[in-house]
Amino acid sequence: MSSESNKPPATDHRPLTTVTIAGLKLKNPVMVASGTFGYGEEYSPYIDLNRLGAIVTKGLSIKPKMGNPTPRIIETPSGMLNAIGLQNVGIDAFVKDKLPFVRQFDVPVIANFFGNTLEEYGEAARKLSDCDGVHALEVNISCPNVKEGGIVFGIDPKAAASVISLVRKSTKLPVIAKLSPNVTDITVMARAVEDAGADAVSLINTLTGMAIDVRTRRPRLANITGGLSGPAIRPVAVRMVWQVANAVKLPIIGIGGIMTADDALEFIIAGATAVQVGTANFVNPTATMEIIDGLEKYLIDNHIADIKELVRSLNIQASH
Amino acid sequence: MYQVKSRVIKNEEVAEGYFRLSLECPEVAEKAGPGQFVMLRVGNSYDPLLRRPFSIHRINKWSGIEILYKVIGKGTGMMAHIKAGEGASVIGSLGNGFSFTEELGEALVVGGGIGAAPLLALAEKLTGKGIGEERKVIVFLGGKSKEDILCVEEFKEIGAEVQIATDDGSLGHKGFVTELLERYLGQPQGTAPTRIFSCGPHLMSKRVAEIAKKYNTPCQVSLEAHMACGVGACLGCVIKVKGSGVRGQF
Ligand SMILES: Cc1cc2nc3c(=O)[nH]c(=O)nc-3n(C[C@H](O)[C@H](O)[C@H](O)COP(=O)(O)OP(=O)(O)OC[C@H]3O[C@@H](n4cnc5c(N)ncnc54)[C@H](O)[C@@H]3O)c2cc1C
Ligand SMILES: Cc1cc2nc3c(=O)[nH]c(=O)nc-3n(C[C@H](O)[C@H](O)[C@H](O)COP(=O)(O)O)c2cc1C
Ligand code: FES
Repeated sequence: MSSESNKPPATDHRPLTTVTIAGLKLKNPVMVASGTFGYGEEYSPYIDLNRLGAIVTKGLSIKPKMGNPTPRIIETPSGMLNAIGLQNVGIDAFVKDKLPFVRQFDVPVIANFFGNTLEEYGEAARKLSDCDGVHALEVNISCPNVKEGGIVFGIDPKAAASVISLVRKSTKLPVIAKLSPNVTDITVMARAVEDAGADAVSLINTLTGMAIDVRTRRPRLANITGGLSGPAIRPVAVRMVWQVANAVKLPIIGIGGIMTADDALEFIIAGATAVQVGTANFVNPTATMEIIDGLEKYLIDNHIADIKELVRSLNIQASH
Repeated sequence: MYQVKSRVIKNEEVAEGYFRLSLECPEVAEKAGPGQFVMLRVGNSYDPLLRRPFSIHRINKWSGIEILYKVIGKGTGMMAHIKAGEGASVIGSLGNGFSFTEELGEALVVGGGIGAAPLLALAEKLTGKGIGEERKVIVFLGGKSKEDILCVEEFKEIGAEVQIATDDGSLGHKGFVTELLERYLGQPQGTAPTRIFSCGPHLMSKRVAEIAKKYNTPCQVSLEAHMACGVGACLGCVIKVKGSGVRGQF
């Protein structure tokens, strides 16, 4: 018996793929991850930016930053280590030279930013809120590649909370706290930023790692250590999203090694309302488009009318 | 700039450990210039995960491009096994490439080892293949041993003069290729506008830039860096540039 032909038509309409994160409405849950998509223009020859759920910018700071010495990038099994060092043009140049380009598209722009001090986080949040065309802020408290900023706030719940509450006070835009996986218990961090007023959490940033050239006995990155990304980190990221989903009520943006629609679905089922695609852009610039199409196909094939039904739908009943 | 699924026309070993890959990708070829590169991916494996950057070795405007590569690791090892008719994903053409103006009277082209790869496309343009321009093109090729001296016949065929240096003296001058360049520039020079182009290992490029400065000759060096995206999105490939007259590829 052919079960295929006996099924009722999937749905009369296309399934709903829109999701809302902290009041920000996205046409689909697929965003690009900070630092892997430049400022938007770099990949515009390859894909239609209008189709993305949102664009997250490279991490921005008040002053421009030169970044780390090279090599900054090295490949590892099913992944890569990077130690870019948060190189960026600075908020002023971003607003003047980069933002006008992405503003032409019908896609929300999420500004990812960091500060070297607590005060800088507040100042950066204020500056970014003042400019037309930024729709939400993603606070990077988790970059492993710079000594001064980022990670110290990302591994101490009290410090993380103080950053988020200051940012919260400094802006009316939705505040997304980007969490570091380099902690013993990520739910502690998630609760801390929830209590401090974050509207959403995104996770994970890269896992700290290192690689050595055994012939020369030298580190393969000039910075010695770097952040691991790509398919290699996906199981860790899915686990953390699932743990955080059980610990907080905030919407979650799942990140880590997403290459295909199935990978994105793992995160959504584990508890993510939306996802970000990072390293996959380098390998396949059209990955996001294929993921968006793949998600829609999954919904149609499985007779699901609205993608929101899938969020936190993990089935942990014993299988028979 | 395009991302295209191209078809392999030919993949042949041209010297021990060196292969020439011809790819059908007219869109990329049409826009490509010498000194530019492509990001290549063969297969769908996650290991190796990232695309590999390769210079455009030759441009056949209506059909595609050729790549000349040296097998050194996983990615190039996989490439060596790819056969005619199979697919390869190409992103290109990328980077600034070499540039020169019509008035250029003399071009000194310096290549070290696999660095010769992009210089053939350059020399083809310099010798004005098909247009019949008059321009002196001298290609200086260096390498460890005679096996590492690539494309001598191809350079000669298009009318370039070739000078060779090897570390072990197995072919041409025994010593560095930069010594040949310096010897040439040390001779009495004509008045034709001259420019140096170079691609090769870092130390060679550095020496070429020093010589260019000493003889007050404009110079373009093509440099390599570890890359992830190739398009300017990851900021992985920055290169510190000192002094003037030197321009990175990216
Ligand atoms: C703009 C550009 C143009 C290039 N053009 C050519 C070309 O025309 N022909 C050609 O044969 N090669 C070219 N290369 C180099 C080529 O990209 C590398 O040889 C290739 O990526 C190696 O891949 P693999 O997987 O075989 O080696 P891997 O297994 O990745 O590496 C083997 C070893 O080589 C080192 N290595 C890998 N890539 C580089 C690099 N880019 N610089 C320094 N060390 C490296 C690794 O650290 C490792 O020790 C170019 C590189 C760049 C950046
Ligand atoms: C080259 C590179 C640069 C990155 N830069 C930033 C950054 O500036 N700010 C940030 O919050 N995350 C940054 N990230 C982390 C990514 O946004 C993402 O969290 C991580 O790479 C995991 O996702 P992936 O496996 O899909 O790449 C960067 C990642 C890479 C690979
Ligand atoms: S490889 Fe140069 S910016 Fe990504």
